[in-house]
Amino acid sequence: MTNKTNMNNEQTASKDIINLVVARLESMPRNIEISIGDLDGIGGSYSIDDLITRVRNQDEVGKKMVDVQLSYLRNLNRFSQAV
Amino acid sequence: MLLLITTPCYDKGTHYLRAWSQPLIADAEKRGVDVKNLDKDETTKEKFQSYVGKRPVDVIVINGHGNDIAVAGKDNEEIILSVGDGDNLLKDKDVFIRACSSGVVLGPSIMKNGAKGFIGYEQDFIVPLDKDSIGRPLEDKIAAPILECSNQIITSLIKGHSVSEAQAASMKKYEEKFDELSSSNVATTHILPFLLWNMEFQVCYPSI
Repeated sequence: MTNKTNMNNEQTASKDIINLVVARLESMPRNIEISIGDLDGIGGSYSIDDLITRVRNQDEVGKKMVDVQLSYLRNLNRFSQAV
Repeated sequence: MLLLITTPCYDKGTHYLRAWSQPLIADAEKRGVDVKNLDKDETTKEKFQSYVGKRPVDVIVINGHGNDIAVAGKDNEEIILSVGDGDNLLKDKDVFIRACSSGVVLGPSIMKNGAKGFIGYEQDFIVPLDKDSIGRPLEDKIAAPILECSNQIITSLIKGHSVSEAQAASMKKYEEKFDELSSSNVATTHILPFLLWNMEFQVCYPSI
């Protein structure tokens, strides 16, 4: 799988990063669910509370959420200047 | 033009992709495009590969769950297309696979087998949904921005545009949505990480 910005699956995010991602997820309205269309292990729909638990536990879904949020934070400045 | 589109429906993700495909099917038909829709349980490997093998399909849109090498049909066990199984049937066709990781190995393999162009994703395709809108996916304001951006690809293809033009139009739509949501209310700004994620990993392989 291509890894433009995401963590290696064997890597675990630092505690600071986990706390940052958890804080961002905690600010999300609870009517939002996240659907991942993966055919394999992490496919499914997840509530925000479920995602927070998974980020804390650093399972595959939790790592994916870290990837998404870090990718966003890394790209935000570049993208904001481009548009 | 002949469009083949798959719309399986067996979980929330496919339910949304199917719902958001309906206006596209209607639009295509209005434009005089012949549409073959493999819907719900019709989305089998046998029906998909048989139709593609026999009919002069110009544009193929596959909605479903996927991974690096395969994409599913009516359920996760029904693989309708994978590397070495059906990827040689897509010669001279424009292909959009709206499924996770379809652009990693399967997309390049489809192109190597002579497809005209391919658009897919190099990572998981992730859609935030509003739980309160599950019964009315087209009214879901949380899911709409991402699905509008990916729908733009299909809109462009049914107008006869190339995959490069479809990708450019979709990227433009992502930029517009980013701009719109950035200056929007708090609830919709939560969508931004997922919008940028899908945008960043949407890949296009035009034929050279």
